[in-house]
Amino acid sequence: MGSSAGPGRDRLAQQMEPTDAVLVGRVLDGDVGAFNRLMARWERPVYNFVYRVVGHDEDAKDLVQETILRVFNGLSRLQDPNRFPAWLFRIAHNVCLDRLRSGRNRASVSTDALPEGGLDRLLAERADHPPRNGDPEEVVYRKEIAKILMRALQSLSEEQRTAIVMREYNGYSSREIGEILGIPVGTVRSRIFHGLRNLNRVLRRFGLEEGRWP
Amino acid sequence: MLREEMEQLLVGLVYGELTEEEREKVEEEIARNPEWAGVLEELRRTSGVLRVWEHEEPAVRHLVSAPVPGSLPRLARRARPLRSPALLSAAAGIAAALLLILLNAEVGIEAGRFHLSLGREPAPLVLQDAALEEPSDLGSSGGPFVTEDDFLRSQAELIRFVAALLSESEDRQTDRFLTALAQYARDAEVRRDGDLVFMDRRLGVVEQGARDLLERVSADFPLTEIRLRPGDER
Repeated sequence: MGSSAGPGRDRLAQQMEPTDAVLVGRVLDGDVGAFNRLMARWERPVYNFVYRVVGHDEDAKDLVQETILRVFNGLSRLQDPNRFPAWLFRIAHNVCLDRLRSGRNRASVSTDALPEGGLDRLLAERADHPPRNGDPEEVVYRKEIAKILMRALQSLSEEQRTAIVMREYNGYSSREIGEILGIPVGTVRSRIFHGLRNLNRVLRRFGLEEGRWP
Repeated sequence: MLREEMEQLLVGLVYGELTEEEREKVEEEIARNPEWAGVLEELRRTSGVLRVWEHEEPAVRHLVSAPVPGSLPRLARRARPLRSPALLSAAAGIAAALLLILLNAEVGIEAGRFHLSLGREPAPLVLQDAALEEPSDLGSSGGPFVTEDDFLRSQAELIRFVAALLSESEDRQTDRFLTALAQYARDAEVRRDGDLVFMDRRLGVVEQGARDLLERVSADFPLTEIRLRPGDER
């Protein structure tokens, strides 16, 4: 793929993908379309973060909307547009904290029975039968995996859960997470360390056999 | 070394965040105290299991304006090459489907008419023949969110964009699709084998989607019939 890229393509790619900072500038100049475009770019990553932190799909959708509103109202106070993603996720995190502390969170830690054989069986089946597009079993598999891992994540403290979600699912480094949350890198890593160890214990209770996976 | 410091460094090691100096320090400590090797393995394993859970997607896109090809969740910042040269031969089709997937869209033929659906359950938006509507200025409502009319017009813009891709000459179409695919590759990061598996799976899904799309379009609806109005071309 690298050989297929050329100056023309790069130019086109740039035209197709203005940076966040460019879009922020356009919004501040009054271009509402640029704001929608910026949010279309970030809506899914923010949803993926919020959903795993609060543990409830409908709540997550509401909180993403709340995040978008706060971003729009506060965008003029963003001092460095190049730091838009960190600023955005800090807002999303604050929105989650407000909900969690309000007692109105409806975290859907499912009380359904776990799939027979637990996580270990699911992973084994996945290895034996790689997913195929449109396969109904694939849908079931995804739901079962999501159910187990969501339940495991919700067993963690909010601090550990947030750090792990940002690291594992949003791809932020420990340094970036520290910047978003306003805490030292060492604290981020400590939260991840203890969070992962706690998760391991929970996952073993959910049927993950020692030494087999991933 | 303090236990807490070692714990933090182990996390840095798991995620490839350490400097060479820090890495050597950790490895020396592990050699001195093999208990840490077990802890490291546990951390890696748990992280690997978490990655089995793929990205969730919101049921409906709340805000849509101009089309934004390549608007994938940002996984990381490093560029990476695609691994399989064979992908190039199918790149146009793959990227066509990729584009539609990124736009959360589905193209289909119903009763001989081209349609494009946006959003997912429970409330997908389906517009038929919207590609033939007049273009409009977007974002003119002045408020923080698009109005329903603006939203509908923005979807028409999006459909025109997709139609433009489909109706361009093969070479230019391929060029654009390759650009979209290259952007996708640049936005992704391969950190470990788990990521490679994830990427392969993702591309497999995209490829199948491309085949389905091309089969349906070519069988039921000649590409030449999807045209922009004169002067509408972007």
